[in-house]
Amino acid sequence: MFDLTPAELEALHLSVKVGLVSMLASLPVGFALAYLLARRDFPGKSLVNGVVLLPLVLPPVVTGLILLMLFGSQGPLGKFFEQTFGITFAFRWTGAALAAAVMGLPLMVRAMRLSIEAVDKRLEFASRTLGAKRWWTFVTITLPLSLPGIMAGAILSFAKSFGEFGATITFVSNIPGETQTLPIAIYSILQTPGGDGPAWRLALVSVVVSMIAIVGAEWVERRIRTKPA
Amino acid sequence: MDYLATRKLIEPASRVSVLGNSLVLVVPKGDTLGVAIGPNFDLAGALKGRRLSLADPTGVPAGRYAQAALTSLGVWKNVESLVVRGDNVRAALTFVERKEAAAGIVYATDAALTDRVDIAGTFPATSHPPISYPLAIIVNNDSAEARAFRDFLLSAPAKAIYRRYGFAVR
Repeated sequence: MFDLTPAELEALHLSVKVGLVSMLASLPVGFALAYLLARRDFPGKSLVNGVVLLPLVLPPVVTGLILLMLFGSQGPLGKFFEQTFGITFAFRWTGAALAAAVMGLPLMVRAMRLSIEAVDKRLEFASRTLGAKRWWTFVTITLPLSLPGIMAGAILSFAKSFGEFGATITFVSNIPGETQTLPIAIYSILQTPGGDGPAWRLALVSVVVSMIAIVGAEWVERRIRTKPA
Repeated sequence: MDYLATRKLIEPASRVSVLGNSLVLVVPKGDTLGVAIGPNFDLAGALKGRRLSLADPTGVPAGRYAQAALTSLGVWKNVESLVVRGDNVRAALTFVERKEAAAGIVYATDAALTDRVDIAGTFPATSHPPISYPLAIIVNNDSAEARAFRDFLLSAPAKAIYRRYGFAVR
């Protein structure tokens, strides 16, 4: 339909991979943070909240630079992950996924937190008085009731990841087949005189993928809502 | 500029080029590569799998010159897989400053701005197209102000500023 070149297909494939991996990897982290912020009071809570939301407000290039300092091959966390898990972030697609996850986390946590806060605590108390253990109450009451927020958070995170540009290019640069996602490929093409044609083709591809993601998410959400509890 | 000239978007008579630059191979401060720039020099071997940082050769001029230089010296094919592409030449320099890349190719003027890299060699001027910074007045904008600004950019005080930042002045 679009007659994509192999290089363009590679950028598309990489974008989807980065979007999905960053979204899936940030789900547990995002939910834990959202639950903590919604239900617990602890010293430094506003600090944690601030750090999570920071990438939303900071210029993405700054976020990328901070990631480069922390998770680059010379950064303390970069060295730790390399030695402990054998995961390298610098100039790898994993780094692109990390940047995308960090950029998407505030949106994810925000949506999840609102949804957890909206769960009626009395239902949880009722479950507990009827003899359910704490974790069982969580699994059967809190989790299902906050599912729409979890879904919304996941979609927002994927959406942000799919379009992420500034932090990614600053952190892991622009390597075709490794870190060159769709937005970076489009940017790269636009730097060339006469690159409007191919750039528009890739832009159209981005629109199609985004639409599929949005429509798909709507469909899943409807399924969740209509399913009897 | 040629792209604009062929589309008749600049005043041809106003076009001049007084500035030049050179390309250098830089390494993080204190590091050495142990190779000298020359035909078929073993850059890939010296990098030992580490990264070479350039500006994006797809569109950024510094990257295109760097790719041209490496190609004419016969080493581009060997190092292509090690290249990381900054979205501009300063981004490419930053990766070397932060030791994320083992080496980089940037303009001499950019390398001169930081004390966190060492210059490991200068590419021969014949290895890449001449690096020049043409100046021309855009069609339908040939005003007295534009002329005055052009004259200033070509004046002795302006040339002194270019030289201070390491540009070659013709």
